Amino acid sequence: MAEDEYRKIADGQVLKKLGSGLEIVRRKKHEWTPELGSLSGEPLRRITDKIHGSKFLPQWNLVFYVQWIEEQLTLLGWDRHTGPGSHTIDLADPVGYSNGKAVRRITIVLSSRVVHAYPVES
Amino acid sequence: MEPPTEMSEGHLVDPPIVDSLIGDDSRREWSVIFIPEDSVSSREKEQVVIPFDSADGHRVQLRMQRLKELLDMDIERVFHVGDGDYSFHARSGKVIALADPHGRIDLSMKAYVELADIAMTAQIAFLAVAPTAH
Repeated sequence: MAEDEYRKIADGQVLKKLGSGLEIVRRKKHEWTPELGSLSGEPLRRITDKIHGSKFLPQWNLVFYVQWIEEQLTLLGWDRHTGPGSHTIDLADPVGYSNGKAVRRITIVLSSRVVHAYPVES
Repeated sequence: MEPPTEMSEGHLVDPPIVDSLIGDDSRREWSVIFIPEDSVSSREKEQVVIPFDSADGHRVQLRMQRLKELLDMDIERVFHVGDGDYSFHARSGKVIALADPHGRIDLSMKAYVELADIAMTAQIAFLAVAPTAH
C-alpha cells in the first residue's frame, strides 16, 4: 500500500493485517509532524514526552514503519498465539525523539494481537 | 466533545493514562497498555493483562459499560491519541474521537473519569505483579 493510502487510515485502525494473525495499527501520537522540525529545547521535550508520545523521524513514514515492524515480527516469531509483551531493539542511526532527545532505540509492543512501535530513550 | 481543562504543566491529562485498551473475548482478559506515573515507572508505557473474572476485571468491565452507554457505541478498542485525546473503536468500524469539537463537555468529562479509573486500576495491577518496577 502507498503512503497516501496509509495516511487515510484513522488513528488506532489497522494499517496491515498480517498472515500471522497480528495487526499493525496506526498510532498518530508517535508520528512526525512538520511543526516538530522547528522545535528545540523545552518545546521539543514537551511534545515528545510520554503524555504526548515519543516521535519517529520523518523518514519513518508509514510504509517504512509497517515494513520494518513486519520484518521484526517475523524475526521474533510472534503470531496470534503470542501473549502480550514487548521487545526493544537498538539501531545504528537515530530513529526519533523521546523527551526532547534523539534516540536510536525502538520498542515493539504486542497487546492482544495488536502491534505498534515507538522510539524510546536508551 | 471538548477536552477537559488543563492540568499540571499545561497537560490536559496526567498519568496514569490509558494508552490502549483491548477486550480480548477469546482469552477473556483486558489487555491494557498505560502511561505510568513517574513514581511507578520511568518508561513511557507499561503493560498489564487483567482477567475478565477478577475483581480488577469486573471494575474495568463496569467502567467500559459506562463508556459504552456514554458514547452509545459497542467499544472494542480504545487508543490514546496524545495529551487529552482518545479514539474509541467499535466492532462495526465506527470511530469516535474524544476531543472532537462537536459534543458536550459534560459527556467528555464523564468519559475521562472512566478512563482515569481504568488507568489507575491498570497501574495498581501492574504494581502487584511487578513490585520492583518503581
